[in-house]
Amino acid sequence: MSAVARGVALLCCFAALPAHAADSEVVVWHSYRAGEALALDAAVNDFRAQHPEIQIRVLAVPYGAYQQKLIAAIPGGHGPDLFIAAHDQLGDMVKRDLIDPVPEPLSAQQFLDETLAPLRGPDGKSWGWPMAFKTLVLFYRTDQVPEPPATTDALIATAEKLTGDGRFGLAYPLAEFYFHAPWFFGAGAELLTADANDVRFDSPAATRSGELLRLFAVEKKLVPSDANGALVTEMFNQGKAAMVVNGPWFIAELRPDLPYALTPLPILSANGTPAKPLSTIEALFLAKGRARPEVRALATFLVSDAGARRRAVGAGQPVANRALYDDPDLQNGPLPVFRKQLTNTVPMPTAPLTALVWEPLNEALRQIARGALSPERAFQEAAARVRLLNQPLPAEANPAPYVLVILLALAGVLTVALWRTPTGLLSRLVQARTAYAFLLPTAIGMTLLVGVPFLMGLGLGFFAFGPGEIRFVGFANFTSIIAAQEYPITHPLSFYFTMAVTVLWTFANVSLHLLLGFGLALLLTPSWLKGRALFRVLLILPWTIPNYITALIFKGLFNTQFGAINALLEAMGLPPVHWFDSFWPAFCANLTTNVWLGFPFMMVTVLGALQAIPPDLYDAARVDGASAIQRFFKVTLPQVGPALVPAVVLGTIWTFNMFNIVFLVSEGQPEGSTDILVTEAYRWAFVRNGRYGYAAAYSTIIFVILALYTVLTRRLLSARQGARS
Amino acid sequence: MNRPPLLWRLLAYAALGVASIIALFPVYAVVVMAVSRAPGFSAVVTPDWANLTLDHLRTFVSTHDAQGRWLFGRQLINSLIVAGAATGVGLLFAASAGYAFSRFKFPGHRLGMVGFFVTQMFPGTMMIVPLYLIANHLGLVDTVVGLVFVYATTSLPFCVWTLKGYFDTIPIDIDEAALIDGASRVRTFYQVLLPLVRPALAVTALFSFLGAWNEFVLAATFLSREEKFTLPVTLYRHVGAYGADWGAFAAGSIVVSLPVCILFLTLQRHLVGGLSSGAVK
Amino acid sequence: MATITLDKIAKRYGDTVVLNELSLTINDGEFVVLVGPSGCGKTTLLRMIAGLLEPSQGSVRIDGNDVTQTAPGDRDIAMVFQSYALYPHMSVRENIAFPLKVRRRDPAFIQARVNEVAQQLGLDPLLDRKPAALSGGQRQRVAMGRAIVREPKAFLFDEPLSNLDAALRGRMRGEIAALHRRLKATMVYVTHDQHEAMTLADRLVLLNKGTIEQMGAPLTVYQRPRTRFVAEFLGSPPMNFLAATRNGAELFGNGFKLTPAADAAAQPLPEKVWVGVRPEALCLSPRTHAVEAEIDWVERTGSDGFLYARVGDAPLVARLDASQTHPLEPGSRITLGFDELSLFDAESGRALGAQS
Ligand SMILES: Nc1ncnc2c1ncn2[C@@H]1O[C@H](COP(=O)(O)OP(=O)(O)OP(=O)(O)O)[C@@H](O)[C@H]1O
Ligand SMILES: [Mg+2]
Repeated sequence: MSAVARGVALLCCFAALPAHAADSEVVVWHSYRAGEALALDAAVNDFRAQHPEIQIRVLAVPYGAYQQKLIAAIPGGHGPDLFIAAHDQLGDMVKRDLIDPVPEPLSAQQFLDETLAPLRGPDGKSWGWPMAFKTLVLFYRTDQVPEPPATTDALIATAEKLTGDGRFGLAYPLAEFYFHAPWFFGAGAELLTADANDVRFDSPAATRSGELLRLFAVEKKLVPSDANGALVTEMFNQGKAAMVVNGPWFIAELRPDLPYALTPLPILSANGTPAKPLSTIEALFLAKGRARPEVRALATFLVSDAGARRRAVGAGQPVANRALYDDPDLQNGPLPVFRKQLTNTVPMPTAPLTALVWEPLNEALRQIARGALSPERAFQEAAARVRLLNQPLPAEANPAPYVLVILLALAGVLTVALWRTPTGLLSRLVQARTAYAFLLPTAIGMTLLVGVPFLMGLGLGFFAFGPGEIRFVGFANFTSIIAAQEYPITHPLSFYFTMAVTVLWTFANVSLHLLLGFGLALLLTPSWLKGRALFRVLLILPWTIPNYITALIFKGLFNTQFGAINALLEAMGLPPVHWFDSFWPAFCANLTTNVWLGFPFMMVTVLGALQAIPPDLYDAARVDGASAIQRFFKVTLPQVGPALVPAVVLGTIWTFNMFNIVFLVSEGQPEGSTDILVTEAYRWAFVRNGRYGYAAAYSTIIFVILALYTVLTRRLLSARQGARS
Repeated sequence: MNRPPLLWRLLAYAALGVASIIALFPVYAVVVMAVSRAPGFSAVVTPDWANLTLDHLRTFVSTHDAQGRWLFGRQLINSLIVAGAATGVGLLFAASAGYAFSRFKFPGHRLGMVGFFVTQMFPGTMMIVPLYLIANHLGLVDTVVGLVFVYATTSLPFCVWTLKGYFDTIPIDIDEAALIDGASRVRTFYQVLLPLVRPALAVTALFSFLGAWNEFVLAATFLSREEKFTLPVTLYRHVGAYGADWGAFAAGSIVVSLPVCILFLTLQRHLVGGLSSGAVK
Repeated sequence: MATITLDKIAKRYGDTVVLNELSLTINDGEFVVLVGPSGCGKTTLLRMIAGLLEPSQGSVRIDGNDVTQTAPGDRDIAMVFQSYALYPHMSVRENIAFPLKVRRRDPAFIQARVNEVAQQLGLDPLLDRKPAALSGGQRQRVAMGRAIVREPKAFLFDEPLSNLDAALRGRMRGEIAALHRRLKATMVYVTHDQHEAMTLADRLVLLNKGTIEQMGAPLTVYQRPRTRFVAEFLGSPPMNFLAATRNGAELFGNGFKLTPAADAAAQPLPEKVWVGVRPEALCLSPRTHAVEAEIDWVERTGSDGFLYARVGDAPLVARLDASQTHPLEPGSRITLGFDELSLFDAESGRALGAQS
């Protein structure tokens, strides 16, 4: 049982969760796609051929849902026996009690040391079977770069020659620490202190790596400033980027006829040490309590040389098995380059603190690449930010007073309710039995599948989840959020700033939805309009497209270099906008996306309300001599207005919690300033160290704000109606 | 009917035209990406019309699993079943609840209506794990039935509110006439009133169907067999940890969105239309 | 057929008393018309008979069986609504067939019955239309058809003709009367229309503020109103009221003096009374009693002539033969004679015995 599950069980007085019904099937989960997924299937098929008696089920889960699914399913007894994940999640998985260590010792003859070490626990046990590693090397177009650069100076020189005219000598996602890591570690910087309790990147070495980034991005402009993974791929394929820092997955994205080659990353000219990218070990993990013989057999086979060969040959995976690097078939492929690079890598750290460093580091890199902060300052701020995020778990609180207060409150509510209830409640209940019969299915469904999870969510906010423990902390999560001591209110990472942004976001969206919806609905109503049905269909279209698709598409359209929107601006003679470099453009990008997908709902609602106005009213107003504008304000608006109230209130609630758009379009950039409360809550739960209780407290605060808003609107509306009548 | 001057009419058409183009543009972008050989977003800006391909589409539609089963076909059917059943169940629940809220006064009436709103306020992402645990207790995990009920209940608040509002517009005389004619409450509900709220049913049906059809996080969390997946789960698989296959994603987006678009096209008249009021007045 | 008995039924909403311990027995085959000012509880009463409302107190019996808790559909009562409440999505045929279908009658029987009813009401050519495609009168007839198709024990009508024009209303009134003669069913009929009330009713029940003000044969109620309220409510134009003070056996008012017939003296008259005179009782020739009046204006409707005048400050309407009104000019003074009058206690409004 995971900590979350235990907390929940505690809260709801639920009995222990059912144990997994042992079945003969072996279930493997992964989030591979394309070639890697196929290669894995092939390896599994080989095993099936050898062991026809063992049933195996392989499931490819979308990456976006993988982590949540593991967290929810394994404690629930519906998880896999084996699953593939990167080793840096090891800490979190151990903390959540999701995995068991590998039952037998792994052979150092079979696997590369670099792949074994990161999986080893403090007691020397291995927590997973190494399958492959991922790290970065230098890709270069052989038609543009005759001689791969061996040092960063050479790299800069080569890149300078190839930069200009819409081309870049080098491309990689500048603002992702993963891609900056080679320079960072090459310069001798370290992420964490030896005891892994604090960060160490406010160091001169880190600053040096920042200087290199400045050189690339600001001084020489060798690297496009807002390249993301997809963009880098496009640029390299089109010859717009001559060199690219990238990993093994990149190969599958390249055009088959592309003239390119790989080489290990260059040596840093400043100190003569090779660049050291992070290495991530992809491992096969054993889900808690599933160490059945057939599971072990399958795991052993998948990581055996034969199984690894499938993946190495089939998908070009840099596998963990030593033997494959002597394999003549693979000598000329990219694998030896990765193998060579692996000796100069830093394993992705797994200490719990690591989960907290990425956001601040990425932010620091973004600042440096924009020239907004000096490398030194940027890294200092990032370190400070991590230290703030890394506050110790709140102290355990005594639940007794809380329970007492809850009980008293319940009793109070009950007494008041009984006292205020008119006499004959029982007979009224009996009288209403028909009504209750009609309500029964909804009531059951809502209670079980919405009400209970909702109460559990509320309750979780009073707990904190530490490594292998949960503790009741009372209001600590709430007070720490509301007090918001970490940052001044005006700082983009402060709770109040986020809240202000959320309110602005909601207000802007709902207003624009209303304005556009109303305007278009009015345009669609006149009887002389031809092609009404067509227009209506076209305008409803955005509603039909899933919002994550919309978000991802808009994210692409807003891209600085390749996005259609900047292309349009340029076509009109306007300068391109760096959409995600400063608050307002990023906010507008989010806004545009959400307005695009949200206005049809309002338009349809208004259309319906417009149709419900009796035409007599317009005729009467016309006879009374009202102009079109007067008719709108005196007839249309008062008639449509009340019908829109529920839509507006619902729209407000939905927009307030519109996770997908902010999370996928601006991703909170810059500096987390466009984050809204829900994305912030999500980050606390799933990105920053699994502080589930803190995230639940965030959600509760969101809920309270929205509840207050609803109550307020109701009050205002009924007061207004009261004044009118 | 008097018409405004030509200039105004032209302006109205222009405004609608521009709005439609903006509404269509991202759709156009998806289509271009889906049929371009060069992957990614630059295809939108500089489409290579001479070099189009249906490969992405074909790949998406023709996925088979290791056992040689046509996954796309199964997943399409799953999606249809899940979304269809969720809509049906949701509508049935919502209609009967909306009827109760519209026609009866009972202790808990106000509380119930407010309760529906309240549930919309807690962020959905934070409810997934608790929801999963409950569903697990009820034995609903990894079953289509579970997903159906979860989807149905998520759409309930909106549907109940909409339907209650629509029931309110139907004079109570109609119910009473039916009751006096000897129909039971249940019969009055489904034979007399349900047909009258058809426009609202269409709207809420579309709404629930859309929600259930497009959802992927819950589906991916709840379902653990590839042949039981719904289409959005498969679609989202093209966006991975290390980059994405935009061509396939775009092609998949089209395939996933198409049925909903068709449904909207056929039902859009009802979206805003009301039944001719006739004898109700 | 059915006898409907209401036993001390009351309806309250919180502190509002809509009906107050009202008892009424409607005999088998009787046509009872409920009249009364707006909001007096007619619809409420009807809906309690139908079972659509539960009385706060008291019981409803049909043929001696207590049906207070019986569902409307099981009371074997039909109701025609003011709004008709036709099912908009069903054709006329389906509308009429609905009560039988609900009762799972044999389809062949239903068809025969629907055709029969349609023929009676002249609806045959409209059977496949939807209500939206019918005129007001046709809809009304469909509503009637739906009520009579199942031959219920009793019919309830809530202002069934109020949405129709005068001519159609007249015709439908005749049809309802004919229907009653033919079916001999118990009928309870709510209306605001005096004509309907007077012509249709076997018995008129006048409600006021949730209680029965007076009931009886329409003519009796008309001629012998028990209170000033009843006298004022029935008749169009309504009865004239002149304030008078008794002095011995004589009544003095502003501009008139009259001596009520001797039989009234059996009952000592109070000090202050209202003298009620029906507009049609007044004539230009000298009669037992007379009042001096000044003419305000004259209305002629072809057959009738209405004379609006003032006796002192009190307004007075006289209904005369149209031909008689020709010489009359506004502003002139005339003497109006009458034989019949009613006297009401000025304080309680109660009638003081019929006068002539
Ligand atoms: N649900 C209710 N709550 C409170 N008062 C009500 C309710 N329903 C009806 N009433 C009151 O009961 C009284 C009688 O209503 P009812 O409809 O019976 O009048 P009516 O005699 O049919 O009037 P009309 O001739 O205008 O149709 C009215 O004063 C009305 O305001
Ligand atoms: Mg009434």
